[in-house]
Amino acid sequence: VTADAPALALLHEEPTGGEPVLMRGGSDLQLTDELLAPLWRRWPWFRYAIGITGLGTVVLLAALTYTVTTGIGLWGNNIPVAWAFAIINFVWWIGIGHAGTFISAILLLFEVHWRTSINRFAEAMTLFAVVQAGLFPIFHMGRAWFAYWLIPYPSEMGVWPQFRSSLPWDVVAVTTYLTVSVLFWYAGLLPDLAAARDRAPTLFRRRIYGLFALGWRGELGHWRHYRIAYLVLGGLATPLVLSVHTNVSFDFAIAQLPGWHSSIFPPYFVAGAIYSGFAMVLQLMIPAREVFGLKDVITRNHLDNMAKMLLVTGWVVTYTYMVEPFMAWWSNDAYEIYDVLVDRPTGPYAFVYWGVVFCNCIAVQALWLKRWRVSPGRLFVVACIIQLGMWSERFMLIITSLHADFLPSSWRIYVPSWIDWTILGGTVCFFLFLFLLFLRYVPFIPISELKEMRRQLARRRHA
Amino acid sequence: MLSGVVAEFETPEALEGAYEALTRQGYTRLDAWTPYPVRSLVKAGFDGSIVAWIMLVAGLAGGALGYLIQLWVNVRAFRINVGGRPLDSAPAFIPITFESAVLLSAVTGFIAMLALSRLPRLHHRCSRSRASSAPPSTASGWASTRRIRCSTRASARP
Repeated sequence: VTADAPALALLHEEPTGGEPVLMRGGSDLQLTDELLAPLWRRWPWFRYAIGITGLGTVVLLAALTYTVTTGIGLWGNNIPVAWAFAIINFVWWIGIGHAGTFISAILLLFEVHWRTSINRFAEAMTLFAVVQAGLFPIFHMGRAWFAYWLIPYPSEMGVWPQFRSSLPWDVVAVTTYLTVSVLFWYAGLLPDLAAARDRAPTLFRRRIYGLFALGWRGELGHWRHYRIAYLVLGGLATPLVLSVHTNVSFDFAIAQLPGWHSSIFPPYFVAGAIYSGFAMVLQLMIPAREVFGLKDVITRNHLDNMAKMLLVTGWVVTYTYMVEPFMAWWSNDAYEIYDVLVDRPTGPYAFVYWGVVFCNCIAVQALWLKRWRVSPGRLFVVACIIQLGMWSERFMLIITSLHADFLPSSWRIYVPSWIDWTILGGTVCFFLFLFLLFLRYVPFIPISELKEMRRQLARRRHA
Repeated sequence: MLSGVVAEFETPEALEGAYEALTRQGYTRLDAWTPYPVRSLVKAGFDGSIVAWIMLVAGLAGGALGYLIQLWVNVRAFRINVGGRPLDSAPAFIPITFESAVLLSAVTGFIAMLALSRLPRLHHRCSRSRASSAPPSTASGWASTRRIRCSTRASARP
């Protein structure tokens, strides 16, 4: 125990006031060992959790195999509702990913202290959510084995992608997003993998973590390049995350379909993405915080701040819901007015519309109350409601705009098939499966950054 | 042959003090292994990193490459007339230009960061000499003082 341990115990308050962001004292060595302890401990429940989610993943693979071998007709979508579940789930999953990058990159640039404890967590969520998102467009193409045709490459067919369409933009945006997120996540992990290597109890684990740590030793020369590279990666990820959902929204906004053709879509989609993403971070973080006893690392301050982010993005989304009917009315376009002002609130999918209004606009207002913001149980319930609301919002946007298009003769009620539901449930299991593996084998609280933050806060307090 | 001396310090402050004292005595080949960047040392040892410049150049090159690929594909290799709109539609090429710039910059930056740190590296003499007994300070924080022999160019020499 170092000499300054008593001082350290007091110092983890947010300099701007409010609740502490870290309530753990002791030496750096103690903190390292405490945060690494879950890696070396046995988790009695792990085999059951990984078994159930693994089974769900197998079901997903089976459903996808069935789709590929039989044909896309197994899904509920058909003309005029050609997009349906595949694109709803794609937009939903990729939106969830956005909060991870928001927390790790944007809050890094703003030097927000409460980001540190949860950023690794949120970044891992991003990666696994983007993996789920990527599955949908690939299988929605029908012939998934030709997915590589989306990439420009010289072939004897002489056929190239059409870059004046928004769909190739999406391909590039999502693959870039995945690649940069992996690099940013792995760069942040390097010092902690080195810590795991150095503290591992067995030779085998030391070798495995040593392999992934790439020989990191924390020399001055390492830190000198690392700090700059990490900061610039954060700077690159910041506009990137805004661009990805902007590109996703272009898929809709550039079409001429009533209900989609709107210039508010890019900011609306980005806000909605961060909204659902923060809800997902809370849905994962609150149980993990209980299970691993991390209440002094992920404090009430974190819950409070995350809840405030939900409130802000929730209001941006609510604002868009108010602007959309106004724009439809202002456009004076009969189809636009019918779709947005008549079909959505009173048509066959009205229950989805009003459900969205309740989940995304009304339920979140509970977070004005501090006791709702800092109570893990209540916050978890609100996060689940928001998650449901954000999925339903994409359902509303896609289905109501498509099912009643310009000619009433082609109108059709869309109902998802059981394969649709199986694939959606399967991706949730696959996501949790990957996330559990991450929790089990990777230091999921950024140890090095946490120690550095603690030192900085101590110095500031001392000064 | 004793080619260097290594010491461990309890706190970052002690390390900073020793580093400053040795610098004042004229030692130049000093290095420190720390579990997180100790700001004054990183600043004292080096002034900035070339990584940012490499990433800037790679980003500009990536953007240019992304734009040129789109231009060549849609204007030369595979011309499609969509309602008489121009083949060279600069605004439509912007999203991919931006993404390519970010992609190349990030990938290059990551590789450059590792390469400049001489990583990945499976084995280092200083870490092996202690791996069996106590872990090096990368992770453990600031433990007891000890001396070991090791022969890196990073060791202290008058």
